[in-house]
Amino acid sequence: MNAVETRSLTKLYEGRAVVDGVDWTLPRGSACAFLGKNGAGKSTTLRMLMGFTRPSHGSASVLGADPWEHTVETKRRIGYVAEQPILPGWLRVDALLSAWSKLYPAWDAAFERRLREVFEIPGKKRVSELSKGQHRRVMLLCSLAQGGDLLILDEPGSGLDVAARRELLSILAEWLAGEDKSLLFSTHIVTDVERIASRVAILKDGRMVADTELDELHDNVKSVRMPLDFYRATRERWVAAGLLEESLQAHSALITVRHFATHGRFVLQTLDEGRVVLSQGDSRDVWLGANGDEAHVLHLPLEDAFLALTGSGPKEDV
Amino acid sequence: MKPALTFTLSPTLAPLVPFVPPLLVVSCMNWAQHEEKDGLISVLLIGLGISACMRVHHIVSYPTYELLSTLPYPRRRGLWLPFAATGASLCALGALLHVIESSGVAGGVLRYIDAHLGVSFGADLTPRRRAAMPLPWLLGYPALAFYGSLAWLTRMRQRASPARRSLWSMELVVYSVVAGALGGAAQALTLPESEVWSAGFGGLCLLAALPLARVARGLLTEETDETSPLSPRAQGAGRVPAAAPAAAASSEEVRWSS
Repeated sequence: MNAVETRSLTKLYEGRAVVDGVDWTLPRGSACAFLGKNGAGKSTTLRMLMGFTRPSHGSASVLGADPWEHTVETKRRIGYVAEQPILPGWLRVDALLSAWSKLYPAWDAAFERRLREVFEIPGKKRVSELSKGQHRRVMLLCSLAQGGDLLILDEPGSGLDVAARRELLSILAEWLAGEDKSLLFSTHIVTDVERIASRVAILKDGRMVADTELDELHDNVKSVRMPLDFYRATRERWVAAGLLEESLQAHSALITVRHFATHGRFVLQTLDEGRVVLSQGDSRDVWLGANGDEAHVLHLPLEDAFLALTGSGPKEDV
Repeated sequence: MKPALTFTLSPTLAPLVPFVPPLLVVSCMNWAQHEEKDGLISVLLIGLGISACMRVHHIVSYPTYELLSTLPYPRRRGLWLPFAATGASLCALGALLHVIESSGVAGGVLRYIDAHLGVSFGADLTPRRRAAMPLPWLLGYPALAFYGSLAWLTRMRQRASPARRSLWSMELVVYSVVAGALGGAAQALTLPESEVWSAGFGGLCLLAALPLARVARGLLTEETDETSPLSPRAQGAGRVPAAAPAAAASSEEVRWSS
């Protein structure tokens, strides 16, 4: 059974699709980052997965059940951290955690104590007196200590300082080491993704434009700088390789493709029987043709790959 | 490019806004009709009403909805129990205040304060003036308006975009201003004969105001709808970046799952 499964998941607002036919699966035991620009449909998707709002079309299954029909037992297995503070402000933190621990039979009291220390939770304060970052830490504590199998976090790093974010990531990594634990989190902080996620799902205008292992994303989305003549002669093949960006200069072309490993590298092999002559660590490979033409394959950081996939603008230079 | 109209009401305060205009209208009507002391009591009761509304608002606000949906409760009980409890509490509070007021206890307390603290809150209420007190309006009417709107808002939440949700605030402002004005007029017409008539008129006025609000909503929506050609999003949609002419050709969904 997958942790999350969606089939043609669609949400319409006033007839406009903000989530548009998303077919997606999160295998159990995975940590997946949900990426997308503002308004891409991430939060709406998470809300549908949590059963806050119903899909207009399609269906979702979370831990094997329709989120709208989740039973109490299933809810106990899903931890959720909202983007906004949602905890009742009139409760003191100690009382809140005490109440929460009674709601979840699998509550891990030892983990709670540890998280209290790590997150420096002020137990005597009322929730309404907490800063945004503190509120978020309390929400994270609640969701982590409840002993669930699936964590759904909407912008978990938001409002946390760098040190607290690092702590959170290491705690999440520890939590994920448990049996069959799955994590789905939306974020704009790409460095967090590379630290914790094994998979990436990218939404653009409500459609899923990428759903892949992180390594596969790195292998596939590449920028290539090549002689202009060679590019013009092979452009159709680059289009077939999923051309994302294109910048033509006087004598060279700089492009980004989404299927380099499976398509693009074979185009480069036609560079007068081109071959890799120089590989400079992680940053680029140099391909050399028989007549001295050179093509440079640039390994993109995740942030650049994300921008290319979401069409956030052409790369002018590297 | 003509910018689309935007309304930026705080999401926290926006649902409270509908209560303010009718309360003010009713209060002003009372203030104008009666001597200042009664008006002062009206203002005090308004404070109580707003305070109660804020509590209700917190309970039915979206963050609480999310929280309750997340917690391990059965969906229906988890979501509706707090609403029902709040409604019952409001009714009980209204009834209690009404009893206190009708029994003369309130007058006694106010006279006590007047005598010992030297602060006059209008303890010399006559039965006629008590009938004119805005209790049904301050507690019953906002509660009616709130719960009447609640089902509507809940429905809207299911289908409205966040941008449109800010519109309901505007819509409800229009709704409540109209309702408040009609309610105030109704109260003026029916005073001092019967509170029941007054409350009945209030309910009718709320219903009458609803279509007006929907018309207003239609007018507002025309300018702010994201599907409108005037909206920045719509203007941006469909453009292919100049530097990526081939992007559209490869825009099919891609899946690399192994």
